[in-house]
Amino acid sequence: MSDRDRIPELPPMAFAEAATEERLERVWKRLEGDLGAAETPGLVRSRFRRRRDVILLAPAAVVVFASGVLVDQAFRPVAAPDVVLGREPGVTRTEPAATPEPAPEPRSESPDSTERVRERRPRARSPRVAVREPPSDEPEVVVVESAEPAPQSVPPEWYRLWDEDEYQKARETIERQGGFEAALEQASADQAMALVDLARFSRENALAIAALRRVVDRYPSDPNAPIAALTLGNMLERAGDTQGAAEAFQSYRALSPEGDFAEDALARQIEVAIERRDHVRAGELLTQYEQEFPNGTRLEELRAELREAEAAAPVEPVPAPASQSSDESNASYEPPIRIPVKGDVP
Amino acid sequence: MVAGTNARLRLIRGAADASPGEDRVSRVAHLDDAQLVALVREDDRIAFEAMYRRHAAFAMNLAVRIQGSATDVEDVVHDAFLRAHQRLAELRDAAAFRSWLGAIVVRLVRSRLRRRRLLNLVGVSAADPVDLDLVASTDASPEVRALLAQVYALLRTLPADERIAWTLRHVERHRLEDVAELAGCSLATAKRRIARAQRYLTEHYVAPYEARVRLTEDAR
Repeated sequence: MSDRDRIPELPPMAFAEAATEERLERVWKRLEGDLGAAETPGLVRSRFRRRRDVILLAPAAVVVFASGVLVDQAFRPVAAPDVVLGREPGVTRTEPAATPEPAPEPRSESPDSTERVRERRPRARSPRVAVREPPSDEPEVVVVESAEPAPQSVPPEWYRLWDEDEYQKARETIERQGGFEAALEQASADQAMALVDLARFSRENALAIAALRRVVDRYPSDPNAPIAALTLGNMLERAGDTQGAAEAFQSYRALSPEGDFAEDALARQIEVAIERRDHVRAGELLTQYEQEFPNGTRLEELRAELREAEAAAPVEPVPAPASQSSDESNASYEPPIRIPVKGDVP
Repeated sequence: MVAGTNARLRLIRGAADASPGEDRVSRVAHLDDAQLVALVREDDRIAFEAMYRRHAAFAMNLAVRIQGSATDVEDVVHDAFLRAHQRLAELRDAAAFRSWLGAIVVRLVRSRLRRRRLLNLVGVSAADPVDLDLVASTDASPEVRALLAQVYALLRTLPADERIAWTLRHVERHRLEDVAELAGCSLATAKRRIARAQRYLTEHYVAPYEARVRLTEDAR
């Protein structure tokens, strides 16, 4: 055996740590920039999509320009300003019946059920009211104080930016001014919903969920609360938290028993119970559905789903997660807000 | 996946009560890779940052040790994470994110090495010099540094595939199966590449004088 036959083993400790904090931070900054620039979940858009965007850009620009001209012509002769009152928590404003409700702004985001709900929510525009000349015959505004935490007298900077659809700047402002949690702590219901928008815009679903929880838990009497509960259910279901989703759908029904989405929320609760293989609970909820919505559009479908699930697996409720506290385990299917629901099985 | 669900639940519930100054990433840092992958698939940027913080050093060290230099290594790590984010839906076993990321890094480095080798062959570009200060620890003895310098100098002359396979096996100390997975080839191919590189290194490696004397004495 010659001296060339052996290469000594390379000791692991012989190697340096090339990944310094400085290098890693530099790469992260670049990545963060790319993430921020990406409008779509995929960061790098394909060449096809880029080319398609360029092709669509020209007609879109023409349409936008023409729409702008038409809108300008339509609104120029109106003497009175189109004042849109913002809705603040605990503040009720009376308006004449003739005052039209502002139409919800269309969104360009995904057309799922959550987004449809969000589209129905009128956007607060209070800062814009402040800069316009009020009409002389403006009706008297009656303000009713509530027991809920008093809203801030001056809307925070980020809220103004959000209202102007400057989402990126609003998100950056929040970070500069103490962070998302601090903003949420002081937020009114409207502002918390705006924070939900911002968190979802910046793909921070955990923060969006936290903000929705805040609306449901702290402002149950606010008109935003049912929508927040439904959106919360949708997001938790997508995140795989079926128990949290069930609670949120239950909350929606508690907050808005006659709401537009009560039937849908109950159907979703049934689906979640089936998914969790809690067939007893699913059966109870299905009975409720039959009673409350005898002509429900999903009645047959849900019956079939439950039949199929029961045939596929034995009936046994899914035990509460072991890692949760006993209090949480006992309240496995209770909504965060204890409001009785019509016909609900205790 | 009950455990994952619980973790997410705690995370979500805790988020609202977190103090303003608390590091956002630290709130998801306790989640395992599978849970973080699930969140990233839901477009959670904080979870993605947590994944980056957890695996970026591994990716960078892997790239540096295969290349033997820091040239473009930041680009490699950047591109690897971008690609991982973009193709996360293709990851079948979410818990195996680290090795999947490693395979991406290896492919990127391989492309880069092959490109450099081609440019070098046509005389457009010179091969990257080995950056010994970057590769070798400051605690390494002079003998070990000399050994590394010689090994990396020899590796530079090998084809990229053989260089990668040998480095993954003898520097990164991966199992043969893992080498095959990271290199994106069959186990037999991985073994063949390692053996070919080993044969080449053995043929060309020159042990220091003291080692040769010791070996001769041992032989007697």
